[in-house]
Amino acid sequence: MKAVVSTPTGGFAGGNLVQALGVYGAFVKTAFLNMLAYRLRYFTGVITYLLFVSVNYFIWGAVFSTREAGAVINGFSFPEMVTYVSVAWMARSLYFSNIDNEINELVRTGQISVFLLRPVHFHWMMVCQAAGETLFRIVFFTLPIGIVIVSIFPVSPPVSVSAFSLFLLATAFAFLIFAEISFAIGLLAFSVKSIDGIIRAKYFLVQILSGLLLPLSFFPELFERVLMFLPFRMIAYVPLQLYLGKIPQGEVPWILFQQIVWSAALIVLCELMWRNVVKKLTLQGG
Amino acid sequence: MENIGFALSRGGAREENYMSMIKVDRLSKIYQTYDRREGVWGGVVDLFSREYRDFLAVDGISFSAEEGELIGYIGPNGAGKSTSIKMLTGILQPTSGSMEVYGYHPFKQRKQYTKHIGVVFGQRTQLWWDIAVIESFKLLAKIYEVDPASLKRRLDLLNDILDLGPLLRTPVRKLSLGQRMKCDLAASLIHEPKVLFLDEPTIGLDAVAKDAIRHFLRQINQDFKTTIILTTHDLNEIEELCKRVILLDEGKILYDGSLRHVRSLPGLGRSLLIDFAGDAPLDEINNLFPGRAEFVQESQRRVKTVFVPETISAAELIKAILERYSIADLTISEPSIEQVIMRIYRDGLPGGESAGQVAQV
Repeated sequence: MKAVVSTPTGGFAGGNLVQALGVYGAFVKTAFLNMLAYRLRYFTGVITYLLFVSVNYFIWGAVFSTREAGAVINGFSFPEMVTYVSVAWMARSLYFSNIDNEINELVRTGQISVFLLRPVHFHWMMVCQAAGETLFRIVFFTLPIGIVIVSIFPVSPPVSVSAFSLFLLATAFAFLIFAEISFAIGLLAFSVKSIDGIIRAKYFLVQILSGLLLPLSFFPELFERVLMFLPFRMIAYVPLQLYLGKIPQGEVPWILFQQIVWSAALIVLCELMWRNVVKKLTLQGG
Repeated sequence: MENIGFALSRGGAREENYMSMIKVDRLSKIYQTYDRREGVWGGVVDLFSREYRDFLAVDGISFSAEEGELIGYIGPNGAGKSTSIKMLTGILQPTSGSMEVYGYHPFKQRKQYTKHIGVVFGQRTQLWWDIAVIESFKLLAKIYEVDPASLKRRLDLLNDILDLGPLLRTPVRKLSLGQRMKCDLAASLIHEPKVLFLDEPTIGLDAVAKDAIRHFLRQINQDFKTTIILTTHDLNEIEELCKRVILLDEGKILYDGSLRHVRSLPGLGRSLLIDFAGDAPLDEINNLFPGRAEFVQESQRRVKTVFVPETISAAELIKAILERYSIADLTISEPSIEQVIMRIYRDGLPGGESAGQVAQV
């Protein structure tokens, strides 16, 4: 006796996919609305980001002032450096997500079981919600802060239209890679008593290792070579190099391929971790 | 059992006409726990080797429920209520035994299964905290594949009973507990679940809100034929709502049957309170029913007795007294459901009935 009664799969091939897109699209929308409740918080964010960029601008101004005009340090001229720093912070608001903290909170409050009681895939749901938050930030944060930064500091435009498209594409993958890393960190909340420290460590490590604070070419060579084998440079350094046209045309497909591989690998890792968590959760209770 | 199954013929999807909505057979859950050793050294030892111990939370429970039943699922803390509800909702894997709800195995087919059940935890909300309630409903409708037209119909229906109107546009964080619970209940019903699991739905609510929720539960149980499993510590609630109760203790089903039956179980006393017109003649009336009813003095004019209907009937008691004395007032009261349940926990079922026998009633 099997209930095959009401599993509406849509009357046509691909109905499931349309359905799924509808559901996960709704998560994006809900996250957007949810953020709207906190739009005021973002006005303070604008000031914080402006401060970060200003501090960096003056530091690099001081560094370059000791050199002759037109000097290039570790492959960056002063205008490039200013552009790097400014665009890096603007881009951060596009790929940033808070999944680790959110999972931590859901686990702490036990609310996580509510999601097991729904016919949705928790992993995709979290990523879609993060995407909804990013959409929100584009409108209420990235655009206003972009206008302010560009009108104050001498930020160069992208070297070409194709460079800009590649930058946007790479930033989309950066979002995915960042989200999956956050998801994996968040899942640690199931096995460790408190992951607040881990989350904070991740926060700063990603800032450094991704090249947000300092282009990776400034790091010792050995360190830089190790970073080549880690996913973090895909988050900030690689998209910005594309923006500045610093990656030779021939190497672009290779670097995008690496981004895809990293995204896929992290998705698989997170999915395995999630299944393991569900297994433990359903064996030991919530 | 009072409700024998409803014939469900949905386009021949089912092989049988009679089916139980819920079938649970010798379901058990064993948790692995470990004891912490004492002291600092014990803590260090714990790091390297833990002594695991099995804890039997649910011990081979069996029952079944038909469509449209509203069952009170009660028991003291640690009786295994939550554990068994978790198994029934598919979020906990049973150690042994079998279960089937609406034709699904809750755990093995969790994702498909959850489309057909609603779950409300009194302590948690399934609504999105910062957005208007209606947005949560819309999102849930998407999740459960409810089309907008059905959602609207459903909301109109729920609105009639729950009076959600003004709440729909409010963010959840601004709702009172009672309002939130109304919305949570509505949310759990958007996809027309066949079975609704409620865990303490009225915890922390005031009398008015409680009453509204109870009224609502009765209504959906009648109108939609939704099978409801209600867990609560509020026994009045059970009495008001449920014809049938399942009583758990230490992981076992202690009693499964009608509430009326528990009440009329032999050996449970009713109390009779008599106010005499003059001073109460305690010794005299105690001589009237030797060995069958013993009165105690409550005040100068008032006496009280607790009598067992099998030993002496209320009619006989009252008649004998009215014939002899002039009475100002008298009151007979049934044992409160709390007293009944407490007594079952303390002494087991009165009259030597075993849980197994009663379950057949």
